[in-house]
Amino acid sequence: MLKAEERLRDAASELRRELARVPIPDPPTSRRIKLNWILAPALAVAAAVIVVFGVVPKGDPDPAVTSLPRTAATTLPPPTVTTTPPTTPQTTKPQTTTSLAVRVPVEGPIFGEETGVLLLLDDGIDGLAAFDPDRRLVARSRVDGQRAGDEPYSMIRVGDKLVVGWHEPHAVDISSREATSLGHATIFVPAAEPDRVWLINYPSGRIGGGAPLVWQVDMAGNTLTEPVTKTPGSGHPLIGIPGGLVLQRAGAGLSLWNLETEETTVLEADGTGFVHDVSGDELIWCSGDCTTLAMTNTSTLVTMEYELPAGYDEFQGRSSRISPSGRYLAALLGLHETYEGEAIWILDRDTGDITVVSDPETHVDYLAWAPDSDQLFATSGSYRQTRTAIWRYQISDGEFTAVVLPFGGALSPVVVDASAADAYIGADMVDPSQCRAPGVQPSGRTGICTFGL
Amino acid sequence: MVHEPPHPDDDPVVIAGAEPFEAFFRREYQPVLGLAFVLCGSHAVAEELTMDAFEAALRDWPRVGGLESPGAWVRKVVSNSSVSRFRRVSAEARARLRLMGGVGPSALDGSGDVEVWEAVRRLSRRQAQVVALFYVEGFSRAEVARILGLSEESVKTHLERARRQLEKELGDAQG
Repeated sequence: MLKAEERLRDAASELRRELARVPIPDPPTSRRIKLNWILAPALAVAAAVIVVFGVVPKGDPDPAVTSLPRTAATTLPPPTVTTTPPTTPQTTKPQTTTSLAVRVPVEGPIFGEETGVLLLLDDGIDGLAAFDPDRRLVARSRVDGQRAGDEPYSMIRVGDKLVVGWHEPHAVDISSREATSLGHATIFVPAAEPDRVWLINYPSGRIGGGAPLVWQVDMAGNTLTEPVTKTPGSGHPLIGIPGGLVLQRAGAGLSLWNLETEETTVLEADGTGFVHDVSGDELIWCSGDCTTLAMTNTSTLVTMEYELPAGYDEFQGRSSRISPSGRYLAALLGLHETYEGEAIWILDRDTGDITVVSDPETHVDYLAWAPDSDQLFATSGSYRQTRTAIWRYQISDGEFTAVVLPFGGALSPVVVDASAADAYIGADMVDPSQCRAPGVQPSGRTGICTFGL
Repeated sequence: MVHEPPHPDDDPVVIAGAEPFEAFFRREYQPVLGLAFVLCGSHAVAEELTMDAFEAALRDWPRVGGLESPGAWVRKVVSNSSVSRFRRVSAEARARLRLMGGVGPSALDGSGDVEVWEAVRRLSRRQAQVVALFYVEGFSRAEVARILGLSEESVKTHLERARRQLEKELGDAQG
């Protein structure tokens, strides 16, 4: 018997033993199914209303609602599209068709040149993996206030802090790693105002459970706005915009809610709205199957729409990121079959030029700009895996490099200046087997374990 | 087509000539969960997909329960939904909501030879389905063929190709 088949049979036996220990839940009941029977005709009627009248049904309980019809959208003239193949790095072993074959240069900087950055990769449990591509180092450590969960934002950069966690989000100083509680709330979402986040507290403790209380805090945990309750009919808060929040409308786009005026503006769409990013007044979003990407100015309500390039099925949900300079917009392009990022789409907002880069052997899930707005990184989610694919695209010279690194336990990245490395990379090196990604919370990790690539 | 909602008092669903749904569910839940887990890689998502499949079976139990093999029917539903992007995303969203409620770590996640199942999930969709049914569930090639609606010869081909690819990947694996 082949070695792989033997492992497969052993793994199957072990899985069957584990399955036998899984409790059998109560069977589904007609009562649970009844909800579907009730909802289905209601959704069908709602869909019919939208199709026939081109409007969303009335009933938003907010005091002042302005509807922005889709006709306000402007589509850019056909852009110049450039497709860039990846640079093939010198490999440590023959390259195979598997996406998990390690693919890094034998020596020197991982991306072939100095990047001057450090990638802080959320590990999905209670810490992060810091990746220094120039010195070929990876280090794992716990982050105070971080905890495992599937909240919409797990680790983001806000000024010179990382904001992490749920139930009690924390701000963590990027340089000193000192953590400060921001207060008790179910989740946080980014705010458009600098050095702030919104805290969202659902009475049930679960996302979507009841009408949430929302308020804004600074990075010291000071409450900056009066906590107010949003009714469920207004949709769930997704991200901050200047003076307010974007709310999701199931099957019907988004709402822009202004905290001071309590007015709500509806961004109509035929499907549920998904927020990608906010930069200043610009909101990047899509809806339904996300075959177009919209950029709406939340002050003027002017919307630009960008069409999906041929050969792809969608702009990947929530993936797009505006560069810190505001000049570039990057998004992941996906296929329905793989539900992973197949390519990066980069728009130069000054020129309208679009560049598409891809690596045929790897996929990516997250995008992050370097502080210089010249380097764009994309990483594959490698939670409970042993390989991480990382793509780097440099705007100034069009250089695109894709590598596959021999470590897992890495999710969305925050890219910081390499000067922060001392806080995340330890001096003592260990064997990678002694520095595995955590699998359960709490990880129990203390200190920093560092290994070389 | 509009259906009348089932009456709550209809539980448990029993139809003449067919196994009671509840017994079917209790017998098949764990193996079907295993199939979903192998194909999607997450215990929480697998639970959602498994319950979706059994709900679908219950909704149409007068027909499904009367089939020669209701178990094959529910496996086909799970095999398709586990590799369908839209259904997976939907199940992931629901699993997330559930996990936010404080459910503890899932039993299957991270257990056993994780690398093997990751390699299986990198196979083509059909190969992964065939491998999961053949090795995890222990079905014969003929049974796998019947479940997936393929010829036995086709199942044999998928199995051979899958073995070759797994040998290449797992024999080649590092770290």
